[in-house]
Amino acid sequence: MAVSVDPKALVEGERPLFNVSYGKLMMWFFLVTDAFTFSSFLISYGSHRIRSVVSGVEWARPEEVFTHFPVLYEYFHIHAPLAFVGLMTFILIISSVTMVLAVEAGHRKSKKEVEKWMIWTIVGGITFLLCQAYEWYHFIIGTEGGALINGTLVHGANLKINEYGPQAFADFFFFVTGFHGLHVFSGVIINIVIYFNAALGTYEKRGHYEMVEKVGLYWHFVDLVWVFVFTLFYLI
Amino acid sequence: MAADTTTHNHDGGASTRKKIYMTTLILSVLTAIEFVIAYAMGPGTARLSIFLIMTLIKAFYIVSVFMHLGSEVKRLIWGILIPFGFIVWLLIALSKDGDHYGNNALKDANMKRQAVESTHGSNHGESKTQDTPKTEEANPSGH
Repeated sequence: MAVSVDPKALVEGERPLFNVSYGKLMMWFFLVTDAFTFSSFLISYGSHRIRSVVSGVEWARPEEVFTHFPVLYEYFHIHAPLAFVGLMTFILIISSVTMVLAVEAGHRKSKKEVEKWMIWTIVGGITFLLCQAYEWYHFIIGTEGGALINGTLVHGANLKINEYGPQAFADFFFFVTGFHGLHVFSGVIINIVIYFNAALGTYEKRGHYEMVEKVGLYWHFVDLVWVFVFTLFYLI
Repeated sequence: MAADTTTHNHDGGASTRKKIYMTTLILSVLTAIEFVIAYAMGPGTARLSIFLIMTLIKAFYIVSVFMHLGSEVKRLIWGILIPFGFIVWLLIALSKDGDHYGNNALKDANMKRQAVESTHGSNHGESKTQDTPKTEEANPSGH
C-alpha cells in the first residue's frame, strides 16, 4: 500500500515532501547512489574501449567470447553466440515480474500470493546466479586453442592474462558482472528474509506489506542494471 | 486468485496486473529484437544508436511501471532524474578522454617508429626505400 497521507493536511511539513514513506525514500536515495557506481563502471569501460580502438588495438568481440550454452556446448559442440546471456537477461526480467506481482499481491494483503510470488522471485535470482557461474567458468578456463600473447600460449582470462583481447576487457568483465552478481546475491538473501517474514505473518500483523515494496525496488534496480550491462557489455 | 483477498481497489488489482503483463511483453519483445539485431546487423553507429534507444526504452518501462516511479509525485520523479545529468556529463567527459588518450598513444607509436626508421637509415647509410611497418621488429637484427 502506498503511504497513507491525510489529504486534508495542507500545511507544509505535515505531509511528506515526496509523498512516499521514509523507508521508500531512503531506498530511492540508495538506488541513485548505487546507479552512480554502476554508471561509473560502465562509462569507464567505454572510455577504455574507445582509447583502445582509437590507438589501433583491437577490442575483444563479445559475440566470439560468450558462445557457450549448457548442453548444446557439452554434448553437441554447438556454439551459440550470446544466446546464454540473452536467456539470463530473460530470467532476470521474469524474476522482476514475479517480484512486482508479489508487491501487487501485498497491496491486496493476500499472504498466500505474496509467498508464492516471492518463492518464484527467489528461484529466478538463484537461477541467474547459477547461469553466471557457468559463464564465468567458461570465461576463466577459455578456449581449447587459446591465444598467443607475446609468444606464450594463453588459455582463458583472469586479472593478469586475457586470451580474448586487451587486459582491460577481462578486468571490466570481472568487476562489472561481479559487482552486479554481488547485488543479485544480496538481493536473493533479502528476498528470502522477506519471504519468511511474510510466511510467518509479520506483515499481516503489521497491517501492510510495504517491506515487499521496498525490497521490490531494490530487486527491480538489479534487473535495470543488467539491462544496461547486457547492452553495453555484451551487445555492443 | 485466493479467496482471502481483502480488496482495496475496486477491481481487485486486475488493471494493475494487466499493466504488469503488458510491460513484461514489451520488455521480452525488445530483448528478443536486440538479440536478433546483434546477429543481423554489422557493428556501426546505426546499430549502436538502435541498441542505446532500445535500452533506454526498457529502462523507462522498468523504472516507470515496475518501480512505480511513473505514479509518484512530480517532485520525487525530478529529484531522482536530475542527478543523472552528472552521468551524462561523465559519459561525454570520459568518452573525450578515451579518444584523446588513444590519439596520443597512436601519435607516440608513430613518432617512435619514425625515429627508429631514421636511425636505422643513417646507421647503414641507406636511402629509405624499405617502407615496411614492422621496422621495430626488424631493428634488433640491424644492430
